[in-house]
Amino acid sequence: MAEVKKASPGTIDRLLDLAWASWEELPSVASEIDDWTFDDQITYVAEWPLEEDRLAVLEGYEKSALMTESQLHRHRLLKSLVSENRPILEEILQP
Amino acid sequence: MDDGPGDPSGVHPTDRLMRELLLTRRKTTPRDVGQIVRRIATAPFMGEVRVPPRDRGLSYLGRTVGARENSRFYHLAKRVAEGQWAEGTTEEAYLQDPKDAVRSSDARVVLYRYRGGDLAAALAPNGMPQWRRGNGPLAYIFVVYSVDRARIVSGYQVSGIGEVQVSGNPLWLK
Repeated sequence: MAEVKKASPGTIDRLLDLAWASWEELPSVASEIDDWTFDDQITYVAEWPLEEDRLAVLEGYEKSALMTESQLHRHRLLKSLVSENRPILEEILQP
Repeated sequence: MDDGPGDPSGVHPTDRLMRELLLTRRKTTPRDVGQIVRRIATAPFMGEVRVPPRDRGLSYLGRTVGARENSRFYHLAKRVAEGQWAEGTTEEAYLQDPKDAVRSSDARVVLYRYRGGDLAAALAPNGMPQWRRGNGPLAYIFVVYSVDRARIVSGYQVSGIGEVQVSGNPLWLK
């Protein structure tokens, strides 16, 4: 379970921004990653455990009632984006 | 401890060991794990890599991240922007922190495969000094090593063991 502690100012918004950017770009990455060099491909995929961790941290903030209404709304939109794009990620992370 | 000379194929014995473990998934010995930890802890960072558009333009220590960038500098700039490492952290310190973490007796090692590439990663408690932590530090350090390139691919902080999700048929060694 992620360690949930009081977020410093701006932390939750920053995590939401970072997560949104990563999950939003998946369709465009999927369309071009086969053309990247091997080094570029593994550099990209090596970051994904961090992206998954970020989702868990955000979930912890929500469950601990540490999000504002606006952050809760953004978090709901993020979760929807994650559901939509997870099959694309699984394709990108193929062994 | 020296891992011995490479074999005639030019593949380092420890990289060959990691490939063999991924293939056979046999039980490992403490010696195997120690060998892998040493290999990761002494590896250099990757060279120049592609930077995703969203990270281009990040500025750190008077230098701006471009479309292709030295991997160590790019990842450091990203980690500072994320609040994981403190402003002012040097590239040398950023490389050293994951290496120090890997050597911890509490480190866990996982082998996995993405996009045809064999990877090893170590997860260890974040023992970084407070002054080198940013304003959003996390409890563990995760360092990713490419078996194919014999280079560190990335190093970052994560919140906890339960949340480190590695796909690619992972093989956790300890």
